[in-house]
Amino acid sequence: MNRTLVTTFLRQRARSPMRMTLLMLMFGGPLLMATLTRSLAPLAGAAAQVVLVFVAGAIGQDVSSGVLQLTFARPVSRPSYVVSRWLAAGLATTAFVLLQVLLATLALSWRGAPVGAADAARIVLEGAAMAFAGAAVMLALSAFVNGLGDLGVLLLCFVSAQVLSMISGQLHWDAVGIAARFLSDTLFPKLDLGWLFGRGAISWAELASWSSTLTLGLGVAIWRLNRRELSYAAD
Amino acid sequence: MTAILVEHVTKTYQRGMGHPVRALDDVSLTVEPGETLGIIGPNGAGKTTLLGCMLGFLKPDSGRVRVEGGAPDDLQVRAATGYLPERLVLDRWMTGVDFLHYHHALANLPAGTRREDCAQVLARVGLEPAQGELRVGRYSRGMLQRLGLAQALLGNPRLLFLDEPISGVDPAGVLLFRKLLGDLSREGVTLVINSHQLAEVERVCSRVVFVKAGRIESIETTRAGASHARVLRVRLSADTAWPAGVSLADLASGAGAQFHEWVAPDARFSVPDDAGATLLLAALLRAGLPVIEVAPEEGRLERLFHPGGGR
Repeated sequence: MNRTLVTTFLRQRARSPMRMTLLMLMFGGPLLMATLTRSLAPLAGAAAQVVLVFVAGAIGQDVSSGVLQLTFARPVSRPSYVVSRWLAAGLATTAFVLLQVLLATLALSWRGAPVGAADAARIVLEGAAMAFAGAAVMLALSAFVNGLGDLGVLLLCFVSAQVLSMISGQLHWDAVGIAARFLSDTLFPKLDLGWLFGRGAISWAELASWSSTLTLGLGVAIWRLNRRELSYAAD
Repeated sequence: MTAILVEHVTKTYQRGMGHPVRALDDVSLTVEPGETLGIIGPNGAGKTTLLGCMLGFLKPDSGRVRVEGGAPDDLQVRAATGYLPERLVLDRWMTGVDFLHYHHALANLPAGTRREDCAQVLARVGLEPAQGELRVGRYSRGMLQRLGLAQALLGNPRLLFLDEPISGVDPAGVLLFRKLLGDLSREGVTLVINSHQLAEVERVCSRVVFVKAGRIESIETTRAGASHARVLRVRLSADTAWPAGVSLADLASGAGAQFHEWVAPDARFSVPDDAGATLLLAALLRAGLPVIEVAPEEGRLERLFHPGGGR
């Protein structure tokens, strides 16, 4: 992990008007809904979209702009670059969710609908889990395609998962349904942490799936970036 | 220890569905510590690929590259290396100072001296402190080049790779860059310069590699490195009469030079080296010839680009 890379990545994201606009909408919209519905439910799962805003193009944009060459001309290892971006996106998303939940909790208390600390903590922790695993998946995609192509690939895979799911539902093909679910879970890795708060038993399969998705995402991103040549040879 | 060793390096690109393009073909080269090496060649010759291999951005298909005995992408090697890319691409929201601070931190240089180090390199490339506070999005091409060089100088690297360093730089900047490169060379920094500016390369570099079609066609020792043979064009005044009985051929041979031709008002001579040029000029003046101008007929490097100009 390289602290300079983490902070500079976050500053870079904060300087993008498009990303900041999206983040403000993602912050304010669910917060308003939570206040109106007197429940934290609208905040659950928001991390999946928020992390996309932070991490989209994290590697691909640096490759296509040519910034990466100068970075790697310095004593910076490629794994450290990937891990720094992953940490930055995961931490920023977690902080975003934490702030959102805190404000929603205050607003709901003010409106006479106090929220249990366990419920609030669960949303934050599940958001963090989703953020770190989602960031790893997006980094893997971003290491393969330039610019914001990772978003395109993600969208394509998501639509494919939906189509497969529909086919499975119509034709009762279980194998196709499993493939659709696998694809969807890989793109948006969720982790149910209810067991931490005394709700249900721990699902080892889900935990293994989440952690393997995260590890595989980071591993693929590092492997791909290590193999990637930084060619500007059009001489 | 050799500063840079390039041994039988071959590099091929696959461009789309077409045939692979061999960008470098069995290239071998050594650069000694403190040497200033120029890389020249026509577009598409493989110069940038060669630089990319030396920097560890590109992996050769075969052969090997060593920088100070290590792999070019070794982090210790990188810590001793500075690099100025041809087109400096950076986050436009940063100020010049932000950009330098960022690279100072990436280079693992002590945070305590960051402000001072960055101010120092900024001054060294002739950028005012107020210019350093501007967003880089507002920089001109020449200012960006200066900022890029400042970045490359951070941490006093032992090796500097400069890709088209004076491209887009104004005349004052060219003079500053020239002086700076001379200073660096005297400080013992190994410089590798990829450039199309032949006159500058000839002026600054001690050796020049001419790359063509992926191969090293020739390695020239330049004026900066050593004295060398060249053709001089000597212009004589048409208004002043010559002393009687003067033979340009005899004068030339007496000074160790060779007379080629007289096409009024110019005479062309070959001289073996710098001392030979001085001897020839002295002989012409002693003979009372009205010399009004002496100039090398053509840069040697330029000749390499003419068909059949390479060896």
